[in-house]
Amino acid sequence: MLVLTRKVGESIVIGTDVRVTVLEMQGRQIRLGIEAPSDIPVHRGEVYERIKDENQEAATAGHSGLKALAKVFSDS
Amino acid sequence: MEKNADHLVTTVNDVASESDTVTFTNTKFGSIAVEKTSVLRFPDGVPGFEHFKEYGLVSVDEEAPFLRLLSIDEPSLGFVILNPATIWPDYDPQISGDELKSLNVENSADLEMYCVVTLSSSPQEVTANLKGPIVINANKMIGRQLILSDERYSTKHFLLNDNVQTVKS
Repeated sequence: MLVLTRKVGESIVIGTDVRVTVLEMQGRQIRLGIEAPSDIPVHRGEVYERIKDENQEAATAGHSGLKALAKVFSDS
Repeated sequence: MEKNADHLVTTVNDVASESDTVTFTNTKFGSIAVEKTSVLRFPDGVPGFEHFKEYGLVSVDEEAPFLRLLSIDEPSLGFVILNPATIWPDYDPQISGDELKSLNVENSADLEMYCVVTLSSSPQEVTANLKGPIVINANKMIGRQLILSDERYSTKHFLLNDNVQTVKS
């Protein structure tokens, strides 16, 4: 991992078109501003991990009960 | 929300005829043919499966309203998905302009939305991920799994419980 020290107002540039700026520090919290092209998704790390974990679980779950469950909804 | 268009979906029993079909193998369903024009491209894959970029959307007899999103590259990879409006008619995630742009959406009528279902041996514990909807530009056949900052939605919403009564009535 590359570790850089930055002050408020300073930024880092990733590649040619992503810029992360330290906007503000308040105690243990740091506000970051991220400028990136619209095709580069930016997410909070823990939320991304939650989606990833859920996808893993969804992809590996057994589907034995699916037809029975489908019946519940298609009978409506 | 737009009604999901039928033309996107291939039935698992559709007969493979012309050379304009893509045939792939799935460990559960065996050999499946989808029309080339109905191959969905996920430029970023989906979180956890970033390397797999092409999927076929397949409907299986007796599984409606659920659909299968099957990886064309990886036979063991597939998801069960659902139009969230089936169960949550009020589902209305805030989707940013940037996100729409990343799907090249020009006309909102081209936008279709699904949620990934996590099955369980107990029907009461089957959940849907409303925090990470799969959105598809049906015109360009591009798909992405969005990650919402919308705090109303989580990765686990039960399908049954309160909803059963609503659905059956």
